[in-house]
Amino acid sequence: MSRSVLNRPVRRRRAPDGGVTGPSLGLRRVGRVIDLRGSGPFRYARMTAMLGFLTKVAFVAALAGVVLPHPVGTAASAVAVGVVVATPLLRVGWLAVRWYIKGDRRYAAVAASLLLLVGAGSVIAVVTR
Amino acid sequence: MAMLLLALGTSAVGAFGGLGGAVILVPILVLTGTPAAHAAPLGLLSVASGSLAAGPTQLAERTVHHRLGVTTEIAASAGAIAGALLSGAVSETFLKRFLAAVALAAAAASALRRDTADRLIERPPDIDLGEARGSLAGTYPVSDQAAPYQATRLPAGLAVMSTAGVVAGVAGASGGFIKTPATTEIMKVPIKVAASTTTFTVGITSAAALIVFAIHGRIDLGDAAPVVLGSLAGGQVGARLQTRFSPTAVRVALGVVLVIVAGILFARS
Repeated sequence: MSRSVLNRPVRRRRAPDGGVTGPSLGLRRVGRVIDLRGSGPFRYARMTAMLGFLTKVAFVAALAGVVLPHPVGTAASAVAVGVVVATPLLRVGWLAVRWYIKGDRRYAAVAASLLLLVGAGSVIAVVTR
Repeated sequence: MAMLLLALGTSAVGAFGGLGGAVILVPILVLTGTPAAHAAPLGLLSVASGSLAAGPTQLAERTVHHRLGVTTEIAASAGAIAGALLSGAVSETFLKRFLAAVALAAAAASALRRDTADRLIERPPDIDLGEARGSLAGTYPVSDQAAPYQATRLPAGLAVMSTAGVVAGVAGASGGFIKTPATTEIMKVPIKVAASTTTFTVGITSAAALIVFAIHGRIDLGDAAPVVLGSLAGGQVGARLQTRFSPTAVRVALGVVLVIVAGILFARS
């Protein structure tokens, strides 16, 4: 499975003129399997900035949860927990969208499946509560 | 304040030793009288906080393979959800014994951990560093050279990841001490990439299980804030200590502590 499906390079669709179409805008127009590694030193730069920001938000909210009295402190704790829980799932969602846009639809589907699985787990938790 | 200091200390030592803080935090909480069912969500909060804090640095180092992480995480998250649902249905005695077994396994993983040398090639342009699109291959920088890799034996890796997920859901430990060796030994991924990818994936595993715990009303917000705060700060302290001292001695000490904790947990259960 790993070789045949998940390790196969992404193949681009051909345009009527023989070039490459779709979300590969900006890539060279070649009619063969493309080595898609790397898009520059700023790959994941926005994700890095977002994670740094959310880390600070979680830190400040958790600090407020420790220092402030109830009910403000409890609300701040809930925010800290929410950020810590939501961030990895946001990251997966971000990856799914990015991979889909970049034409790596196989792994976009894998990421979407992971989010669906977590959603299904939540539904089961609600049912078994 | 005690919870804050405990989370800070265990996260710092755990990050320094490469095991993560939860595998120490949860057994200590249980030994000090916290019910195992209550300690597990706090352990996972510690794991998720550590994963969040480490993210920016590891992304900058280009050692996280997101495609590998997301693929293996399907099995791990399924295991974590199942484990979290199961943990509400099993007895406290079973949870304590399971936790003791997890502590012993973590001690063994800590003692047996090896840092292997990678095959190095001439460093390609920065544009080619990182994970390869559309596959489970990649290249990561090693000083002025680079190490290529290709993940193999995915089905076997997925099987082990599901076990790690169950451990996370039931015991509240990250399962990273299972995931990282599985990624290196079974899937033949370099330790640096395996460790960074595991740090990314344990955050997702924890989130999947924490949602179940939250819906079941098992997260105590009063204890959650100090655990998140201590783990965010402790992870940073541990990472800085790693650059100054050799972690080998800490791993051995951690292994000894975990064996003692496991023995006490078995005796008390």
